[in-house]
Amino acid sequence: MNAVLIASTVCLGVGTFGFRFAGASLKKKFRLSARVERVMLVAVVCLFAGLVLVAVRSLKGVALPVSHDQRALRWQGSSPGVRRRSSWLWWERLPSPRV
Amino acid sequence: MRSMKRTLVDVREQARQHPALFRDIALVCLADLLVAISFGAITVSSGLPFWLPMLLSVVVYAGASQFAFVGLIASGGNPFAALLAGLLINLRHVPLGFALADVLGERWARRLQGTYLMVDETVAFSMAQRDVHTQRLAYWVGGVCLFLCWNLGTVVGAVFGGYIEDTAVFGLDAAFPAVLLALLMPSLKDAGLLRAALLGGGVAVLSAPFVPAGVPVLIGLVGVLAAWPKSTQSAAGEQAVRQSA
Repeated sequence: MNAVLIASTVCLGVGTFGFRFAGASLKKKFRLSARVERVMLVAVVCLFAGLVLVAVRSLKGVALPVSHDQRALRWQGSSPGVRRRSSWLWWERLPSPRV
Repeated sequence: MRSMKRTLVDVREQARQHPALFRDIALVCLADLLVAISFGAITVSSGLPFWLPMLLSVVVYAGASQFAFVGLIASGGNPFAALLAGLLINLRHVPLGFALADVLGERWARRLQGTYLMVDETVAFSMAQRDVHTQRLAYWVGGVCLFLCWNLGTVVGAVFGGYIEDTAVFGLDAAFPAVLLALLMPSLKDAGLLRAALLGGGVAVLSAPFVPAGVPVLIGLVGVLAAWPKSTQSAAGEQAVRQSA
Protein backbone atom coordinates (compact mmCIF):
# COMPACT_ATOMS: atom_id res chain seq x y z
CA MET A 1 0.00 0.00 0.00
CA ASN A 2 2.82 2.39 0.91
CA ALA A 3 4.51 1.83 -2.45
CA VAL A 4 1.26 2.62 -4.28
CA LEU A 5 0.81 5.76 -2.21
CA ILE A 6 4.36 6.92 -2.91
CA ALA A 7 4.00 6.15 -6.63
CA SER A 8 0.69 8.01 -6.94
CA THR A 9 2.07 10.98 -4.96
CA VAL A 10 5.12 11.19 -7.21
CA CYS A 11 2.92 10.90 -10.33
CA LEU A 12 0.69 13.70 -9.02
CA GLY A 13 3.75 15.83 -8.35
CA VAL A 14 5.22 15.18 -11.79
CA GLY A 15 1.88 15.81 -13.50
CA THR A 16 1.34 19.06 -11.60
CA PHE A 17 4.84 20.24 -12.44
CA GLY A 18 4.18 19.28 -16.07
CA PHE A 19 1.03 21.42 -16.18
CA ARG A 20 2.84 24.38 -14.66
CA PHE A 21 5.80 24.04 -16.99
CA ALA A 22 3.62 23.44 -20.07
CA GLY A 23 1.76 26.70 -19.49
CA ALA A 24 4.98 28.67 -19.09
CA SER A 25 6.69 26.97 -22.04
CA LEU A 26 3.69 27.32 -24.35
CA LYS A 27 4.12 31.07 -24.47
CA LYS A 28 7.89 30.89 -24.87
CA LYS A 29 7.98 28.22 -27.58
CA PHE A 30 5.10 29.26 -29.77
CA ARG A 31 4.01 32.62 -31.01
CA LEU A 32 0.35 32.68 -30.10
CA SER A 33 -2.25 34.97 -31.56
CA ALA A 34 -3.57 37.93 -29.59
CA ARG A 35 -6.92 36.15 -29.33
CA VAL A 36 -5.42 33.09 -27.62
CA GLU A 37 -3.44 35.29 -25.22
CA ARG A 38 -6.60 37.20 -24.37
CA VAL A 39 -8.53 33.95 -23.78
CA MET A 40 -5.76 32.72 -21.46
CA LEU A 41 -5.90 35.99 -19.51
CA VAL A 42 -9.69 35.68 -19.21
CA ALA A 43 -9.26 32.06 -18.08
CA VAL A 44 -6.91 33.13 -15.28
CA VAL A 45 -9.35 35.83 -14.13
CA CYS A 46 -12.20 33.27 -14.19
CA LEU A 47 -10.13 30.83 -12.13
CA PHE A 48 -9.38 33.48 -9.51
CA ALA A 49 -13.00 34.65 -9.40
CA GLY A 50 -14.08 31.03 -8.90
CA LEU A 51 -11.46 30.54 -6.18
CA VAL A 52 -12.56 33.68 -4.32
CA LEU A 53 -16.27 32.88 -4.44
CA VAL A 54 -15.89 29.18 -3.61
CA ALA A 55 -13.56 30.09 -0.71
CA VAL A 56 -16.06 32.67 0.57
CA ARG A 57 -18.84 30.10 0.36
CA SER A 58 -16.96 27.71 2.65
CA LEU A 59 -15.76 30.27 5.19
CA LYS A 60 -15.71 29.31 8.85
CA GLY A 61 -14.30 31.06 11.90
CA VAL A 62 -15.06 34.71 12.61
CA ALA A 63 -16.17 35.29 9.06
CA LEU A 64 -18.95 32.73 9.40
CA PRO A 65 -22.30 34.48 9.39
CA VAL A 66 -23.90 33.76 12.76
CA SER A 67 -27.57 33.72 13.57
CA HIS A 68 -29.13 36.51 15.58
CA ASP A 69 -29.46 34.25 18.61
CA GLN A 70 -25.77 33.29 18.50
CA ARG A 71 -24.82 36.94 18.11
CA ALA A 72 -26.97 37.86 21.10
CA LEU A 73 -25.26 35.15 23.14
CA ARG A 74 -21.87 36.42 22.03
CA TRP A 75 -22.66 39.97 23.14
CA GLN A 76 -24.31 39.06 26.43
CA GLY A 77 -21.85 36.36 27.41
CA SER A 78 -22.98 32.77 27.47
CA SER A 79 -22.47 32.23 31.19
CA PRO A 80 -23.92 34.06 34.20
CA GLY A 81 -21.70 36.72 35.63
CA VAL A 82 -20.27 37.78 32.29
CA ARG A 83 -20.72 41.51 31.87
CA ARG A 84 -22.93 42.52 28.98
CA ARG A 85 -21.07 44.38 26.26
CA SER A 86 -23.05 46.87 24.23
CA SER A 87 -23.01 46.57 20.48
CA TRP A 88 -21.86 49.41 18.26
CA LEU A 89 -24.84 48.70 16.01
CA TRP A 90 -27.66 51.00 17.11
CA TRP A 91 -30.42 48.55 16.20
CA GLU A 92 -28.90 45.93 18.46
CA ARG A 93 -29.06 48.35 21.40
CA LEU A 94 -32.82 48.78 21.01
CA PRO A 95 -34.89 47.02 23.67
CA SER A 96 -36.26 43.72 22.45
CA PRO A 97 -40.02 43.67 21.97
CA ARG A 98 -41.97 42.03 24.80
CA VAL A 99 -44.17 39.14 23.76
CA MET B 1 27.01 32.90 2.76
CA ARG B 2 27.90 36.38 1.65
CA SER B 3 25.45 36.17 -1.25
CA MET B 4 22.70 35.02 1.11
CA LYS B 5 23.41 37.98 3.39
CA ARG B 6 23.23 40.30 0.40
CA THR B 7 19.93 38.74 -0.68
CA LEU B 8 18.47 39.29 2.80
CA VAL B 9 19.60 42.92 2.75
CA ASP B 10 18.02 43.34 -0.70
CA VAL B 11 14.75 41.82 0.49
CA ARG B 12 14.73 44.14 3.51
CA GLU B 13 15.31 47.11 1.21
CA GLN B 14 12.48 45.98 -1.09
CA ALA B 15 10.19 45.54 1.92
CA ARG B 16 10.76 49.21 2.76
CA GLN B 17 9.88 50.20 -0.79
CA HIS B 18 6.79 47.96 -1.11
CA PRO B 19 5.25 47.73 2.36
CA ALA B 20 1.72 46.91 1.13
CA LEU B 21 2.96 44.01 -1.00
CA PHE B 22 4.97 42.49 1.86
CA ARG B 23 2.06 42.96 4.28
CA ASP B 24 -0.29 41.11 1.91
CA ILE B 25 2.26 38.31 1.44
CA ALA B 26 2.64 37.97 5.23
CA LEU B 27 -1.12 37.78 5.70
CA VAL B 28 -1.57 35.09 3.07
CA CYS B 29 1.42 33.18 4.48
CA LEU B 30 -0.22 33.16 7.89
CA ALA B 31 -3.52 31.97 6.43
CA ASP B 32 -1.77 29.24 4.42
CA LEU B 33 0.20 28.17 7.48
CA LEU B 34 -3.06 27.47 9.31
CA VAL B 35 -4.54 25.66 6.32
CA ALA B 36 -1.40 23.53 6.11
CA ILE B 37 -1.68 22.70 9.81
CA SER B 38 -5.24 21.53 9.13
CA PHE B 39 -4.01 19.49 6.20
CA GLY B 40 -1.34 17.72 8.22
CA ALA B 41 -3.71 17.12 11.13
CA ILE B 42 -6.55 15.82 8.95
CA THR B 43 -4.27 13.47 7.04
CA VAL B 44 -2.68 11.90 10.10
CA SER B 45 -5.95 11.70 12.03
CA SER B 46 -7.54 9.90 9.05
CA GLY B 47 -5.19 7.01 9.69
CA LEU B 48 -2.89 7.69 6.76
CA PRO B 49 0.89 7.37 7.15
CA PHE B 50 2.69 10.11 9.06
CA TRP B 51 5.00 10.88 6.14
CA LEU B 52 2.28 11.24 3.48
CA PRO B 53 1.25 14.90 4.12
CA MET B 54 4.90 15.98 4.16
CA LEU B 55 5.70 14.07 0.97
CA LEU B 56 2.64 15.59 -0.73
CA SER B 57 3.53 19.10 0.40
CA VAL B 58 7.07 18.82 -0.94
CA VAL B 59 6.42 16.88 -4.16
CA VAL B 60 3.03 18.24 -5.23
CA TYR B 61 2.77 21.61 -3.41
CA ALA B 62 -0.79 22.42 -4.52
CA GLY B 63 -3.24 22.68 -1.63
CA ALA B 64 -6.58 21.87 -3.27
CA SER B 65 -5.32 18.73 -4.98
CA GLN B 66 -3.56 17.58 -1.79
CA PHE B 67 -6.81 17.84 0.16
CA ALA B 68 -8.69 16.00 -2.60
CA PHE B 69 -6.02 13.27 -2.81
CA VAL B 70 -6.00 12.65 0.92
CA GLY B 71 -9.78 12.90 1.20
CA LEU B 72 -10.35 10.27 -1.48
CA ILE B 73 -7.82 7.83 -0.05
CA ALA B 74 -9.03 8.35 3.53
CA SER B 75 -12.58 7.55 2.45
CA GLY B 76 -11.41 4.22 1.06
CA GLY B 77 -10.94 5.34 -2.53
CA ASN B 78 -8.43 3.97 -4.99
CA PRO B 79 -5.07 5.88 -5.08
CA PHE B 80 -5.31 5.99 -8.88
CA ALA B 81 -8.72 7.68 -8.66
CA ALA B 82 -7.20 10.12 -6.16
CA LEU B 83 -4.32 10.73 -8.58
CA LEU B 84 -6.72 11.47 -11.45
CA ALA B 85 -8.80 13.81 -9.26
CA GLY B 86 -5.65 15.65 -8.21
CA LEU B 87 -4.46 16.00 -11.78
CA LEU B 88 -7.88 17.26 -12.89
CA ILE B 89 -7.83 19.93 -10.19
CA ASN B 90 -4.29 20.96 -11.09
CA LEU B 91 -5.13 21.40 -14.78
CA ARG B 92 -5.72 25.05 -13.95
CA HIS B 93 -1.95 25.50 -13.68
CA VAL B 94 -1.69 25.51 -17.48
CA PRO B 95 -3.28 28.98 -17.90
CA LEU B 96 -1.57 30.16 -14.71
CA GLY B 97 1.82 29.14 -16.12
CA PHE B 98 0.94 30.85 -19.38
CA ALA B 99 0.23 34.11 -17.54
CA LEU B 100 3.58 33.92 -15.75
CA ALA B 101 5.87 33.04 -18.65
CA ASP B 102 7.47 36.50 -18.82
CA VAL B 103 7.94 36.74 -15.06
CA LEU B 104 9.89 33.47 -14.89
CA GLY B 105 12.53 34.75 -17.30
CA GLU B 106 14.65 33.03 -19.94
CA ARG B 107 17.17 30.97 -17.96
CA TRP B 108 16.28 27.27 -17.65
CA ALA B 109 17.32 26.87 -14.02
CA ARG B 110 15.32 29.92 -13.00
CA ARG B 111 12.29 28.75 -14.96
CA LEU B 112 12.38 25.29 -13.39
CA GLN B 113 12.65 26.71 -9.87
CA GLY B 114 9.94 29.27 -10.58
CA THR B 115 7.61 26.68 -12.04
CA TYR B 116 7.90 24.62 -8.87
CA LEU B 117 6.76 27.57 -6.72
CA MET B 118 3.73 28.37 -8.91
CA VAL B 119 0.51 28.41 -6.91
CA ASP B 120 -2.64 30.53 -7.14
CA GLU B 121 -1.48 33.07 -4.59
CA THR B 122 1.94 33.73 -6.16
CA VAL B 123 0.38 34.16 -9.61
CA ALA B 124 -2.20 36.59 -8.19
CA PHE B 125 0.49 38.58 -6.36
CA SER B 126 2.59 38.75 -9.49
CA MET B 127 -0.22 39.70 -11.86
CA ALA B 128 -1.36 42.54 -9.62
CA GLN B 129 1.97 44.39 -10.04
CA ARG B 130 2.59 46.94 -12.76
CA ASP B 131 6.18 46.40 -13.97
CA VAL B 132 8.10 43.17 -14.57
CA HIS B 133 10.65 43.92 -11.83
CA THR B 134 7.96 44.20 -9.15
CA GLN B 135 6.15 41.20 -10.62
CA ARG B 136 9.31 39.11 -10.22
CA LEU B 137 9.87 40.42 -6.70
CA ALA B 138 6.28 39.58 -5.69
CA TYR B 139 6.51 36.15 -7.30
CA TRP B 140 9.80 35.07 -5.73
CA VAL B 141 9.28 36.52 -2.27
CA GLY B 142 5.69 35.24 -2.15
CA GLY B 143 6.67 31.88 -3.62
CA VAL B 144 9.53 31.16 -1.21
CA CYS B 145 7.63 32.39 1.87
CA LEU B 146 4.49 30.43 0.96
CA PHE B 147 6.49 27.27 0.28
CA LEU B 148 8.20 27.50 3.66
CA CYS B 149 4.95 28.27 5.51
CA TRP B 150 3.05 25.49 3.76
CA ASN B 151 5.65 22.84 4.55
CA LEU B 152 6.20 24.08 8.10
CA GLY B 153 2.44 24.03 8.69
CA THR B 154 2.18 20.51 7.31
CA VAL B 155 4.90 19.26 9.66
CA VAL B 156 3.28 20.99 12.66
CA GLY B 157 -0.13 19.57 11.72
CA ALA B 158 1.23 16.06 11.27
CA VAL B 159 3.15 16.13 14.57
CA PHE B 160 0.61 17.95 16.75
CA GLY B 161 -2.50 16.90 14.80
CA GLY B 162 -4.06 15.31 17.85
CA TYR B 163 -4.07 18.58 19.79
CA ILE B 164 -5.54 20.78 17.07
CA GLU B 165 -9.27 20.54 16.57
CA ASP B 166 -10.14 23.21 14.05
CA THR B 167 -7.81 25.95 12.83
CA ALA B 168 -10.74 27.72 11.14
CA VAL B 169 -11.81 29.18 14.48
CA PHE B 170 -8.97 31.70 14.19
CA GLY B 171 -10.91 33.27 11.34
CA LEU B 172 -7.87 33.60 9.11
CA ASP B 173 -9.59 31.56 6.43
CA ALA B 174 -11.13 34.86 5.34
CA ALA B 175 -7.68 36.27 4.54
CA PHE B 176 -7.15 34.12 1.47
CA PRO B 177 -10.26 35.22 -0.52
CA ALA B 178 -9.96 38.80 0.75
CA VAL B 179 -6.39 39.23 -0.47
CA LEU B 180 -7.07 37.35 -3.71
CA LEU B 181 -10.07 39.61 -4.41
CA ALA B 182 -7.98 42.72 -3.72
CA LEU B 183 -5.36 41.45 -6.18
CA LEU B 184 -8.03 40.65 -8.75
CA MET B 185 -9.75 44.06 -8.57
CA PRO B 186 -7.47 45.96 -11.02
CA SER B 187 -8.24 43.37 -13.73
CA LEU B 188 -11.98 43.80 -13.21
CA LYS B 189 -11.94 47.37 -14.58
CA ASP B 190 -12.09 45.78 -18.04
CA ALA B 191 -15.80 45.16 -18.78
CA GLY B 192 -15.12 41.90 -20.62
CA LEU B 193 -13.01 40.50 -17.80
CA LEU B 194 -15.62 41.57 -15.24
CA ARG B 195 -18.36 39.76 -17.18
CA ALA B 196 -16.21 36.66 -17.42
CA ALA B 197 -15.31 36.78 -13.71
CA LEU B 198 -18.95 37.13 -12.69
CA LEU B 199 -20.11 34.29 -14.92
CA GLY B 200 -17.18 32.02 -13.99
CA GLY B 201 -17.46 32.74 -10.28
CA GLY B 202 -21.24 32.29 -10.31
CA VAL B 203 -21.06 28.95 -12.11
CA ALA B 204 -18.27 27.78 -9.77
CA VAL B 205 -20.32 28.60 -6.68
CA LEU B 206 -23.50 27.04 -8.06
CA SER B 207 -21.69 23.83 -8.99
CA ALA B 208 -19.84 23.58 -5.65
CA PRO B 209 -22.46 21.49 -3.77
CA PHE B 210 -22.62 18.89 -6.55
CA VAL B 211 -18.99 18.17 -7.50
CA PRO B 212 -15.84 17.26 -5.54
CA ALA B 213 -13.71 20.03 -4.02
CA GLY B 214 -11.44 21.76 -6.51
CA VAL B 215 -13.54 20.92 -9.57
CA PRO B 216 -15.92 23.95 -9.24
CA VAL B 217 -13.01 26.28 -9.96
CA LEU B 218 -12.33 24.42 -13.20
CA ILE B 219 -16.03 24.51 -14.11
CA GLY B 220 -15.81 28.28 -13.59
CA LEU B 221 -13.71 28.42 -16.76
CA VAL B 222 -16.99 28.60 -18.70
CA GLY B 223 -16.78 32.29 -17.76
CA VAL B 224 -14.36 32.60 -20.70
CA LEU B 225 -17.45 32.41 -22.93
CA ALA B 226 -18.70 35.73 -21.52
CA ALA B 227 -15.63 37.53 -22.86
CA TRP B 228 -15.31 35.49 -26.06
CA PRO B 229 -17.04 37.84 -28.55
CA LYS B 230 -15.15 40.79 -27.07
CA SER B 231 -11.85 38.92 -27.36
CA THR B 232 -12.59 38.04 -30.97
CA GLN B 233 -13.36 41.68 -31.77
CA SER B 234 -10.27 42.97 -29.99
CA ALA B 235 -8.07 40.37 -31.68
CA ALA B 236 -9.50 41.29 -35.07
CA GLY B 237 -8.95 44.95 -34.21
CA GLU B 238 -5.37 44.37 -33.18
CA GLN B 239 -4.71 42.38 -36.36
CA ALA B 240 -6.19 45.18 -38.47
CA VAL B 241 -3.98 47.72 -36.70
CA ARG B 242 -0.91 45.52 -37.33
CA GLN B 243 -1.80 45.13 -41.03
CA SER B 244 -2.38 48.85 -41.49
CA ALA B 245 0.96 49.59 -39.77
